[in-house]
Amino acid sequence: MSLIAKHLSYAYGTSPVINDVDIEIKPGEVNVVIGPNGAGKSSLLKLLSAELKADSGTILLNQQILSEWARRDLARVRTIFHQNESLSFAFTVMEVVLFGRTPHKTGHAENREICLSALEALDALQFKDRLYTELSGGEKQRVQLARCFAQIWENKQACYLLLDEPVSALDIAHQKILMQQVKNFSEQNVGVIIALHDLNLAAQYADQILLMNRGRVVSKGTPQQVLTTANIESVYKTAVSVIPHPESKVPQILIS
Amino acid sequence: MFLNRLKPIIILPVLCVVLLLGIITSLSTGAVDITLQELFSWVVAVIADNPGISESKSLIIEHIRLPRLILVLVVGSALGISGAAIQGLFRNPLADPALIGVSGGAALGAVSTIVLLPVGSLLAGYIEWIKITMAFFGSLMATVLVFYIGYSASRKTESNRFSVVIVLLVGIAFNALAGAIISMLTYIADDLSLRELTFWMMGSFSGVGWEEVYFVAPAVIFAITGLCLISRSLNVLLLGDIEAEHLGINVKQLQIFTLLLVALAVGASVSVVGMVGFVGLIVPHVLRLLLGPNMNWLLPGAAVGGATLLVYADWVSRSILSPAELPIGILTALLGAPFFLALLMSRKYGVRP
Repeated sequence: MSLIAKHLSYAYGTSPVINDVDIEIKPGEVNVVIGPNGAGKSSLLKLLSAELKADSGTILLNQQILSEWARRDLARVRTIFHQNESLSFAFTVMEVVLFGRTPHKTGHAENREICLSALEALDALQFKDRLYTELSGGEKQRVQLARCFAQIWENKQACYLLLDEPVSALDIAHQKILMQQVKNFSEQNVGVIIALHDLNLAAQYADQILLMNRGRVVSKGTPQQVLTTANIESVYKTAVSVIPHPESKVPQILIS
Repeated sequence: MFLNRLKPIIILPVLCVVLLLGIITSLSTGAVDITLQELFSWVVAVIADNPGISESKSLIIEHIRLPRLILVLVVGSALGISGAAIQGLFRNPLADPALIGVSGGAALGAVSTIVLLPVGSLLAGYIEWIKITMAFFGSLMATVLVFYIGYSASRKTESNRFSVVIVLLVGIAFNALAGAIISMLTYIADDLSLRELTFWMMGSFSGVGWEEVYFVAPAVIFAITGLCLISRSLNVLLLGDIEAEHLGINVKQLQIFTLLLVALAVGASVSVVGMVGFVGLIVPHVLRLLLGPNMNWLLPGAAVGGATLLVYADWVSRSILSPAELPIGILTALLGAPFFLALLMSRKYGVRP
């Protein structure tokens, strides 16, 4: 049981975006994809969620080819968060989160229960009755994340959580709440892949880091293995210092 | 939002009562006044076969006012619910069923029949029905065409997926083209045709009977039922196409299905009564303010709301210049255009142009 991509390639027109990428996402693991703008992080997530169709290569989800999954069955085992949400209709927060239960046949009472838990997990329960359109950017992001969580909340089988820049609008307290929640999720048979720009956050929560550059995975491994001065300077073309975190000893990156 | 959202449980019954009052007013006013009591005895007579109303008045109700009333209700609910569905589909509260070419196609069909069908020919006796049929097929063909071109064009974009924005642009282009052809036909039309097509473009319920009801009602009832059945999926679509897809919705199929149902409802309505503008725009808006954006309530609400608005508009259009009649399209446009402008000015509830 895992989400496996082999020899994945994809191009927009003639410019390759993803070039021969191999990746395996196991339930119980938090994988973090890092890399400069245009490295192919979002495209990789889109390919893994079947939003884009790969030009070549195969993707297997729980041993079945991704494109052969029935839409609804797939929606029950994997959820994806995108940063460019654009809901402009005045639903209440609770209604938005309930949309996450669309693929499931559970009853309304159970759905409500799940959505309340998902909102609570992201410290968003206090605005469950407010209108989504009246929330701030960070609050909206938490609500959309709660919707994604609600989609795979019971995770009776191996599920997958794909998050593209989930912390872009969150303050540090809510970044921590989110990442902690993601970690908890992964321990309950959920495979996680997150695209992040914050290298320090990646170092603290990742089991495995994938460093991407120009559509390729250039380095893969634990934070200690990947987040070296040499790796980061060669990919980001910026001078950095890498020091251990005072408590957890994971590498932390400072701009020189 | 200047109004707090109210419970649909309260709003919908209130709306139904307002509609019922409109129905009663509509049935009792006209060239011959029919009192409430007479109306009541007519209802009793229909049920219990116990005539307490004069035969002539009962004939007026049964052959003139009732079919007209039913057609008004059917067309109103068709325009209202179609507006709500289209605004949801395009995720834009300023969208209108006319945008997908359905009205332009109907107008093209009707006007070309009026202008090009030679007077005195063998078919002239059936001109009314030929016009309706042409308008109906015009609207369906236009929708299919707009949809097909929009679909092929959006496949050429970067994301390679169906885009409602491109369909909308194709709709605008199609409407401009239809408008130009109609102008050309208007230019070559003789005086008689000119008068008839002008009235058709204004929209009117005058002179309709049961035949029209039998033509329009089944199409509209089918479409309303279909739209209400997919209301839950249409809700999810408001999140965004990609988000809905990730939640297991077959977005393309849902979009095609919705467009066809709207084309059916609006096409059937417009082909019989002509252009009745702005109902599909105003009604879903007001109802969204009252009920919120949830399609489960909004779609039936917009159907009842559309019927209500049109019943009163029809009543005013018959009464204001009595014994003459103001074409109802003029009235709805007079009401609708300022409302639309106020909407653009306020931008209170997330209107994205």
